Amino acid sequence: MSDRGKSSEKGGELVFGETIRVPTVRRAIHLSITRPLSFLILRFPLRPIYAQQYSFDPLSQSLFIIASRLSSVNLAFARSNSMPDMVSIAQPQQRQFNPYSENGGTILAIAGADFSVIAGDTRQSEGYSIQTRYAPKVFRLTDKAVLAVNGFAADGNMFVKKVRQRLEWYRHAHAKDMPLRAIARLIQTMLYARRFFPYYVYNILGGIEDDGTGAVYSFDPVGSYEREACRAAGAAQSLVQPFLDNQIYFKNQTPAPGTSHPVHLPLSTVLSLVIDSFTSATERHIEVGDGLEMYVVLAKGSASVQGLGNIRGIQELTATDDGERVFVIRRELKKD
Amino acid sequence: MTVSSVFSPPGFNFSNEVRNNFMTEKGLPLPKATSTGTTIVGCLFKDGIVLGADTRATEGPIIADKNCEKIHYITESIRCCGAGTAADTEFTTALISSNMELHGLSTGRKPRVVTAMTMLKQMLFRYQGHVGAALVLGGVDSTGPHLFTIHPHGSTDKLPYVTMGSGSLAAMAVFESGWQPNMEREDALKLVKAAISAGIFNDLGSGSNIDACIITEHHTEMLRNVEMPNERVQKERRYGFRRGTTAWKTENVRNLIVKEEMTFVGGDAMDTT
Repeated sequence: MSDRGKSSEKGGELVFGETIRVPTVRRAIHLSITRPLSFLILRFPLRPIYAQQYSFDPLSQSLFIIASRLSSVNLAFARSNSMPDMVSIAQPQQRQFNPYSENGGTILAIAGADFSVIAGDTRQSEGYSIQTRYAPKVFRLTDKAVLAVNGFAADGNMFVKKVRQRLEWYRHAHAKDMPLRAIARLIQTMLYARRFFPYYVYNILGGIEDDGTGAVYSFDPVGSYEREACRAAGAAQSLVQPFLDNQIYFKNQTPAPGTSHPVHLPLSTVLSLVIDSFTSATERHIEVGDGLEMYVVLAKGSASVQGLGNIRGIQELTATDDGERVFVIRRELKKD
Repeated sequence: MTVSSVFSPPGFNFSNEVRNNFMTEKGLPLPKATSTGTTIVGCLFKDGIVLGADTRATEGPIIADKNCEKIHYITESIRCCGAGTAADTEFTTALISSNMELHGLSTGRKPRVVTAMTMLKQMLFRYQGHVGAALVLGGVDSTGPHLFTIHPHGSTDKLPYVTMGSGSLAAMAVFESGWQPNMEREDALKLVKAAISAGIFNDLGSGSNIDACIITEHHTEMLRNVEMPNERVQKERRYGFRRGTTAWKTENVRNLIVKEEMTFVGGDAMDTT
């Protein structure tokens, strides 16, 4: 079969640039190749060899040719990173479409005894570009629930829209706002409904429970959730969460002899910690910055309202003061 | 003197290449090098060259250095801004700076900007882009002011105004709208500052402060942190810890002398005469 006896009808070894002779009658040859490659180029001095006439399997490194009146085939090897320009490639091409992107930013929520603070920066970015310096990531759902979304911004906005729609339907059916723990369970089912094409979003839900306590629920993109006292998510999660663990949960801090750490911190302290978290994250993470929005949800008749009066630029979002109250505080962050 | 039993050739050491490729194949990627995300620029004016740079160095999305120096010394009247892999820009410019000094000593003349440019491009071309240095080279020599960009693969451009790095588009937009031939020194510096600012505020890879360097025939002025538009804000709280915050389970102050023994070596007392 081969003039040098290296290739045979059943199989044989091929060396780079070697010419193999194939009988002029219609025959099939099967060859294995001596050194690993991911695809190869066939050169044909006499007659063209069509893609249907040969196949190359990169896994077993073997070549299969159905030669039709072909006198010789010159084999040239190509490496995977150099694309051949004129001949066909003996490997199936895989193409893919990625519908997701990552838009940076960070969100964070802390629960107090009778209040909850939910915050997020307002920068939206993709790669090294800023898409906008003001794209809210924190949304008021009801008078006692605020949702922060982080990850893929388009999914986040759509998800908030869908949650709000479900809350409106609930209001029409039951003539009251959905309780916080019910919203949390709703979000879980909505996320898990898309288990195999998920919303690419990390959610943090903050607000007031029916018993008047501050609560924070954090979710993963497919609906696993947990009630916590504090949680950070997003680009600077790894910078902020350890800080919160230390300052909120007092991790790695032994109390002074005869004392114990407080279970809940006052609102003023929490707000200071949130601001410091974001200014620090802005210092060391390129995707965090531009602006900060902090939502404060107060339980009915909460005494924490006293401390809110002298905060610069605070704005109340609720119309009445006989139920839960929602406030928003906006701050500038560095823009570099 | 002992002679090393293993031959080590001069220059880079590639002995771990096969191992590292194997590890990458097995799913253990190489550690990421510090990159100077970077906006760097250069601009020609009436009496010379103005170079500019931001001062942010990044490791992926994390800011590794908030105030690094990206304008490197080549000779007294030649400076070079570096973007790309921080170590590569630093070592490449340091090596060429050293060779330029020797070249000056051997020829007895002030070395020229083209000489530095040629040395840099030949080195970068030799390493086929694996030395990840993207440079803006500027200076004034006996043949006048010169400004070059040098790409990691060794190609060069000679232009009246240039930008490099991830913020190059933002900075070039400023140059394209504001640069004019024969500008005054102050106007050129102002333009360079505006170009770097565009990078700092619009490119996430660039940030912090502005460095500039004005090179004229007889004088080079290095303006380190000529503008600082991003100073850190005051923290709301103080994060000092009470003494005793860190827990310990045992405390043991060891006596370092376990056993003391004195051995008198007989014979004559030391001669102290």
